Amino acid sequence: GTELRIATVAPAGSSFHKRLQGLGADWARGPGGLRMNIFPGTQGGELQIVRRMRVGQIHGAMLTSVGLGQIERSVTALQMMPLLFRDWEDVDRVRERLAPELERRLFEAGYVVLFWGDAGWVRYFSRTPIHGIRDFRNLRVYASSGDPESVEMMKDYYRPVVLEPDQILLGLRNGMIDALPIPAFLANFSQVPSYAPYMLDLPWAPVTGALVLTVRAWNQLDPATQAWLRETSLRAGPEMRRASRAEDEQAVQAMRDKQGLKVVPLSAEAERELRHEVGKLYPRIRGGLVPAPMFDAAVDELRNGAGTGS
Amino acid sequence: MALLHRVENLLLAATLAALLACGVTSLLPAWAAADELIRHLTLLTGMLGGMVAARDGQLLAMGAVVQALPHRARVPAGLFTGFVGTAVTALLTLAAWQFVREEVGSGSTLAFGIPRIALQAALPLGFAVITLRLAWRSAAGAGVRLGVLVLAVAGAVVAEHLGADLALARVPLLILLSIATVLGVPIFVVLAGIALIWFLTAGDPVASVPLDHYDQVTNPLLATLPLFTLAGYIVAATGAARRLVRLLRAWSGHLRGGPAVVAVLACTFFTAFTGGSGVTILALGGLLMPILLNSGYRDQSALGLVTGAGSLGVLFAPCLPLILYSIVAQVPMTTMFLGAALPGLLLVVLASAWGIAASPPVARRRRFSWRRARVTTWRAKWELLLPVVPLVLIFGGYALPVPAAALTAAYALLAAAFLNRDLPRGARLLEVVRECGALVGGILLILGAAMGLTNLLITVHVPDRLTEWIGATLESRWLFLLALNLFLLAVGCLMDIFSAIIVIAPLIVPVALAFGMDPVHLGVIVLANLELGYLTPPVGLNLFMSAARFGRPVLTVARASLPMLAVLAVGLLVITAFPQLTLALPRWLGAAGGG
Ligand code: NA
Ligand code: NA
Repeated sequence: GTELRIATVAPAGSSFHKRLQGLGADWARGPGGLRMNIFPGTQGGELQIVRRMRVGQIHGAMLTSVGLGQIERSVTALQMMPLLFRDWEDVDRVRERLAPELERRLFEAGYVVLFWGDAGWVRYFSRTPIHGIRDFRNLRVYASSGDPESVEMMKDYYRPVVLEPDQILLGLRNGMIDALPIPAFLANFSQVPSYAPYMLDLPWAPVTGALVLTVRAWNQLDPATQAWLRETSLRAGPEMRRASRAEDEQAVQAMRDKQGLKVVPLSAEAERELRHEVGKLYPRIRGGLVPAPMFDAAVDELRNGAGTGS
Repeated sequence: MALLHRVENLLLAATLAALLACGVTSLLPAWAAADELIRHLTLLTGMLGGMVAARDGQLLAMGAVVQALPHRARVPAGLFTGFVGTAVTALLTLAAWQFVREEVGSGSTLAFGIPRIALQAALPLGFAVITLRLAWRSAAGAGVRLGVLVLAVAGAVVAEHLGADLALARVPLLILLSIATVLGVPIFVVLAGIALIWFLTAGDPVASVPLDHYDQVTNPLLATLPLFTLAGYIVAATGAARRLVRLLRAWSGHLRGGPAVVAVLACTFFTAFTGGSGVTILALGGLLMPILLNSGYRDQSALGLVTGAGSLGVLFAPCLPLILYSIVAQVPMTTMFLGAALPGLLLVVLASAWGIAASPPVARRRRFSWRRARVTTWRAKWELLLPVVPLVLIFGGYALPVPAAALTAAYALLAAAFLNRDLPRGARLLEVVRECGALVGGILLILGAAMGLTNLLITVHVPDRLTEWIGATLESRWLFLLALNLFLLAVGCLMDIFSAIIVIAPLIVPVALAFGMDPVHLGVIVLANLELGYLTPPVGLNLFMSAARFGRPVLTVARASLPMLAVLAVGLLVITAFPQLTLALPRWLGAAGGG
């Protein structure tokens, strides 16, 4: 039968890998016996995986919004909006609202979305406890080199230090950076608490993503197989989201138990102040990091949701 | 033509200078955005250097066979390797063009609004020039050269068009390539050629090969390679070697093997903090070789010592492979650092012991003189500060490896120009820079091509299938350890250390755990094996670096490195057989467990 090469940055044996294997087994049971050839953590970072899909070496990938944003900028509306999403319900609502338009745009760019997923919250890990906006001021904080706009923006709050992802630990160890925003599962995996043992207990932004196939690969499949992939995705999407959300909490717990992580709560007053300060960024994010129409649609959905109460 | 070559040399020097300048300024927070630019300047340096190396016939090749051929067989052999080399690079050019064409649509920019594509274009352009030059060097007559070029390019274009229809031709093509390898086709042609032929005949896009080249060469740490090499070349071109030899004689002239031990320690030290990418040989080799030769070592011993000692730092914190393993294998970093320390020390002691054994006897009893020691130390003070620069910068938390490397090169330049006042000037300086650039270019071509080959192995699942087989077939722990060592040696023969760790570690850790092995012990075995891998052909990074730096055939260097290889193998056996050596320190200091 046909074989599709699917890549992910998640390493072999990780839960993401295992769930892809599960989905692969579902694929194989369908018409045509489609085979999923998984490459866990072996085809490079998200940018590299996108490049490999462009030249046709890889047929699909599980990407976060960072990788998807390289294909279609609008996807950033699901991730690069600090403190706008308060819980998973917010994330789900905005995604449902934006998904049809995002999927249309991704299709135009050459990619078919099979399902959307997420991978926990980005939170701040630091060497010294952060109790409020003032504690940020003098911190040197990791910033991604792929993202000069947000580096520019965060200069008002702390001292961003641009590093490659694989140099984060080196930077933490030799004291170049004091803090970094990172999802819990990744912090746990990379042993971040051994250098930055404090975690600010405030979900900063969700890590969202999707499983995509290139349109080129999609068009090679017969209609029955395409329908089967759609059908398995209906189940796989919610399942993966449920599992990764549970894992987000498990990762924090594991870091507390094994790596001496200390979770630093934020007082209501301090949280209000922080949200107020970071709120000043939104006009710059709108139209900068996140295309304005998508930003407006997301904020509109969040406001309506808050109005109807949930 | 001569004018064109001069322009090319100047362009190469200008690119290196820009890399140096950007590297230094990236220390300033406001210039942090220069990072992407630095990485693409590395790409540009690599392609320009590769072009110059191809022009001057300095591309690294395995072939010592050609020299052994009778004279009348050399012309057809050169024609054959020239044709194979031209055909492979023509295909690589085509593949690079396809890769860059796909990138145009992404429309991304580097720092300062420079479109990424402007520098990515260096890839197909550089390969095209190298194609022309391989055809040029294949024969003497213009007609034959043109014939080779036309035939090779036509062959590449037709093959690319046929793709999977050539499935049956895979084995014959690979055989042709291996004959060309023995006869002396450049190493990067061999590595890229295997990947290109395999992907092509499988119906997969060949563009993945230059894609991997691009990703490898623009890897954020790789800019340290041209920069540290430049620092090494500058120091080697000045009177530093002479001053350091005097210094060494003064301090250890009365001790047998003093220079060898110093060479081993210096290489270990340098590798530990530059990350074990083989750059040690480029940075220190130019100094250590003359020191050892002047101290009366045989050429073979000196070559073997410098080549082999370049990888000894891999087991010492904060060497990058060590950190990488602890992350990939999920072992606490401090435990890994402590666990690797004693095995690392063992290898250093063994290597030093061999160095002492290979030393010339101390000619006449020379008494140690404090005065002489003081004077020679004072005269060499600026050179002695050289390794201190990157160390303080990196460990003091002032800089990451790339700006640290840039500042080291800048320091070497300034110290030679203003403090020691023995920097070569004008055309001589340009020649030093050209040599450095051609060397870096040749190495980057190999590194990029090796990545394409690594990706081929990953794509056809060679590492995972092998691990599965080992786990399923072997029953005793000793058999497993033996198989593991053989497997890792094979891996080390084909892959570079970083991809080997990323690809292999997640696969073998669960298997090793099932055999009751400690993951820290496993990690030390893996790293020690990969250290050996630096010295084993066909992909032995240290062999390439050393061959390039000292202008020797790869096989000569490989032969010279045999004793060192044997010494490391003995150490590896001890490390494998006695887990206590690894586990004692972490247990004693209570860092074991957890994670
Ligand atoms: Na190797
Ligand atoms: Na090797």
